Amino acid sequence: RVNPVVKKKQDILREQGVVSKKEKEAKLQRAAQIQQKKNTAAERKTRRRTKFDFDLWDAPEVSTVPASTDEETKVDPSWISDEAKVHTNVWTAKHVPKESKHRKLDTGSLIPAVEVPDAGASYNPALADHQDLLWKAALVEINKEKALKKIERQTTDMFPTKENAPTKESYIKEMSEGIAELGGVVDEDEEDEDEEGMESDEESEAKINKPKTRKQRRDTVKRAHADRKRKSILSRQQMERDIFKLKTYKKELNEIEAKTLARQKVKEAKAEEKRKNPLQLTKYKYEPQEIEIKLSDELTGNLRSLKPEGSLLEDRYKSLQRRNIVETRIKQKEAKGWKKKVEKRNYKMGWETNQLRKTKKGGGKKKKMKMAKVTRPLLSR
Amino acid sequence: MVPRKKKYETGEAAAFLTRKQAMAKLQLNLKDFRRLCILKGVFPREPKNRRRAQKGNASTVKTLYLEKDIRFLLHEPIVWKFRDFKVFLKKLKKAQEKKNWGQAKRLQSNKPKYSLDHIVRERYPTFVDAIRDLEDCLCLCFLYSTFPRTNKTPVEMVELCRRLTVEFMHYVIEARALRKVFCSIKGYYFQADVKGQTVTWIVPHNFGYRAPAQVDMRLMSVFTEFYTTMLGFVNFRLFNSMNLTYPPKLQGLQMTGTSQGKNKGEGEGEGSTRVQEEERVFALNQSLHRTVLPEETVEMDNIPITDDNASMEAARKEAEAVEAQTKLFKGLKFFLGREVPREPLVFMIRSMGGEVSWDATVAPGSTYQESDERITHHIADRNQIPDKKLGRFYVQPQWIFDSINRRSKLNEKHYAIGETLPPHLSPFIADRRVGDYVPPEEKNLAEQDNAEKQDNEADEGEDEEENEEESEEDEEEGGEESGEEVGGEESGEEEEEESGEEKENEAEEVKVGTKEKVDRKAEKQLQETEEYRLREMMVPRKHRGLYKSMMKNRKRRINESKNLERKREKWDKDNTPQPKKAKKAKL
Repeated sequence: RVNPVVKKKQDILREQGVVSKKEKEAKLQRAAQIQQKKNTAAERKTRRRTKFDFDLWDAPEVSTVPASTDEETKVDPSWISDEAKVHTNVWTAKHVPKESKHRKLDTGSLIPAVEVPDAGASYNPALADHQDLLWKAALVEINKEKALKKIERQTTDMFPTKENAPTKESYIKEMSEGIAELGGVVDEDEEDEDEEGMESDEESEAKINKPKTRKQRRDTVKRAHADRKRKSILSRQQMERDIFKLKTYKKELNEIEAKTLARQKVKEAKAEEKRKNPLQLTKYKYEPQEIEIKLSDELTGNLRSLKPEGSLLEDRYKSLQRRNIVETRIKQKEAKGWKKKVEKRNYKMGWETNQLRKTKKGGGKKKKMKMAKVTRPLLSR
Repeated sequence: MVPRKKKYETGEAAAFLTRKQAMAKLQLNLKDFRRLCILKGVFPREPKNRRRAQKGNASTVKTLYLEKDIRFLLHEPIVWKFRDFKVFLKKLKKAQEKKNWGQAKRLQSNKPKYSLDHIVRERYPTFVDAIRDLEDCLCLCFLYSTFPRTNKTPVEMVELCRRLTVEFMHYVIEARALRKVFCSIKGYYFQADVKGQTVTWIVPHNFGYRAPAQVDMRLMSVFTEFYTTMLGFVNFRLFNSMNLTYPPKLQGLQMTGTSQGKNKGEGEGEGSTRVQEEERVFALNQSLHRTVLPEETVEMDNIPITDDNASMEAARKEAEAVEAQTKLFKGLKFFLGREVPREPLVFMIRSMGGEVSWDATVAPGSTYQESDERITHHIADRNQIPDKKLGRFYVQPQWIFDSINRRSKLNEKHYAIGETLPPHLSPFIADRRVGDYVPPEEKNLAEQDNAEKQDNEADEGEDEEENEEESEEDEEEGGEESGEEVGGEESGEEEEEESGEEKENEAEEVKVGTKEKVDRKAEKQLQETEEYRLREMMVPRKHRGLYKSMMKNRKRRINESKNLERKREKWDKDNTPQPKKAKKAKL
């Protein structure tokens, strides 16, 4: 609250028309602020950037030092730490974090951003191109049918139909084939197979180990020694002979190398092919969109009567999924969110439910319906 | 003692994080995490071995992110802004529940904002990187500029997209960068040459908006947020490179409205002129104000970069063709009818150097009216036009599309009002291989081109037919040696047969010996075929399999195309003579 004496003085000055410096400045600043607000109204409306007035790739460096031209007040920037500089620059375009140099910025997909359209998708296509595209679309449907038919073939077609189902008589007839007593057909060409005789198992005799005599021990050692010597001589001779086999060895090695190279090439080709298809990133598989095509009777050669086919929004969304930029997601069912029914305190508390409970024991259907009619508007919330 | 080495601690298992783990590390909820990933360009990856990467659990497929990427995201300052936004929402809700409207209003006016400049810079370190990614950006921005204003697509976003796409189109017009056009049932495909990179984008047809059920609109709006920022900066740089002022101003007018800051508060009067200016800029009809006037076009120096003369020649020819294409509609004045799609056509005509206008009641920005005498072409799409003016061609819009694609003005007769149009072929098809089916319409066009070329050259020494045959084959087979010889072989055989017959007739009677007609051409052909056969045999055994399959495929394609041609002839025959028969029956 202003002192009444001061207030009186101010009133007198105002009547005289004397405006203080402070008031003048305040007025000017207020006007400037209103103007500034008006100018930036469009920018402040949205949180996106609407004004592009500098070159991002040639952006000026934001200096961490306040600019001053005075010789005395020039600041020596050496005391500003690197951390402080990074901290100031982190929002500007000049700052590029270290880790971003090692980042893999592309998804590795070979699919282009905007794919070349089919010639048959023109609004006035040539006959051959249109037929090609129709055939492609038809192929998709044919393949779907084929898959269904395959499943049918492997499951329901394995079982007989109603007409072909076996009746009791036909079952008996089939089962008694070959048995003359039951009246079945006996095939005269059939021969009885000879039964093979059972083989008797050979019993292995258990060997009884007797201790070795000194002589036998000496002999075994001698024999082992002679064996070893013989083997070493043979192996050395074999090595000397092997030099003449150099050509075959070289050939073998070349073959092995060629095989590995071929296998590597096949692997590379497979990896390339994989890059041309969308990857499996979530449990839901990528579903390609339908081929947009106008059937022959829908085609008019006219631009005016053209009704566009397909949604570009869906097209872009699917393209992002195909290139592995975004994973496939399915819209989940929203949870209903049960609201807890809280009964407000009143004098009637629980009367309706009690009434219903009473009618269960005593009254019949009519009384229950009567009760339900009374309580229906009250219970419905 | 060294602790025992546990499974799934190193290697692939340590390199990947599941989405839940990533969110826990960043302390963000799913919505914010996805937004951050999209803005920073972090994608989920597929590991080589899913069992190892998911730490032994291979029953479900989980979304995996590289651990390095997530660590990189930790340093992002925008994450703090997300958390600030969460806090802001809490405060706002509290104020609203307490019915503290003043507080709520104050909070909303100070909403936390974040800027994406540093992210754009980080994802595209150089300008050319941004141009390479421009296709996706343009498609989305053009798409969003046609949307209605709903709560998922707010007004500001749609308006911003519209402004940016119009600016980009202005750049393409000024730089004469448009090369190919294709009108499909999905939309218009444009291909332009921006700073040496080919950029293709789709513009939707101007029809009602149908939101498809499966598309996640929030996701697309995040993409658009990023791409609008990027497109704005790209536009700025493109405009500056062409010495145009950014934001675009029209030529020759004293600008009052769009300058930033120094308005003297003239209120509504100025606001309306500014809106009018904007509308005229959006109309794409007038050329823009330049800061530095362009000099005369400099002739290209013929500097031999490579020794390969053929490719240099091809490159020079291509450059010349492109030069010619940019001046395609120079000096022509077009008028658009009411039923043709205005904006794409204006864009196309102006990028080829033509002038265009429309009825003043359709949209602002028309420069001349229908009654103007200087109009050379009137573009309309009706069945018939009652009063036609002399001295101007009435054509359907496909004339423009096809002329741009063929890089020369086609005959307006084929595209006149009421005529059945020739098919609109796609310019994007790759070069036709040997033996591929060529629809007769393209063949006719090719023949016309060749006929024109022959008229210009006027060679009298050789037969015209032979010349045409050879040049046609040259065009179709792309000048391949073997192709020429196959063609030559055919014509050689015919001549051989002719000479054979002549000889038989002469041998019946004994006459005075006449000089044997040495058909030098046939001999030459024979020799050439022999040499070709020899060269075939000389193909090394390694390559023989590939060569055989190549030839086989070529033959197969030729047969297929012949089959298709037969089918087409049959179809033509079935369909065309009917009206004549009908007339006869009537009589």
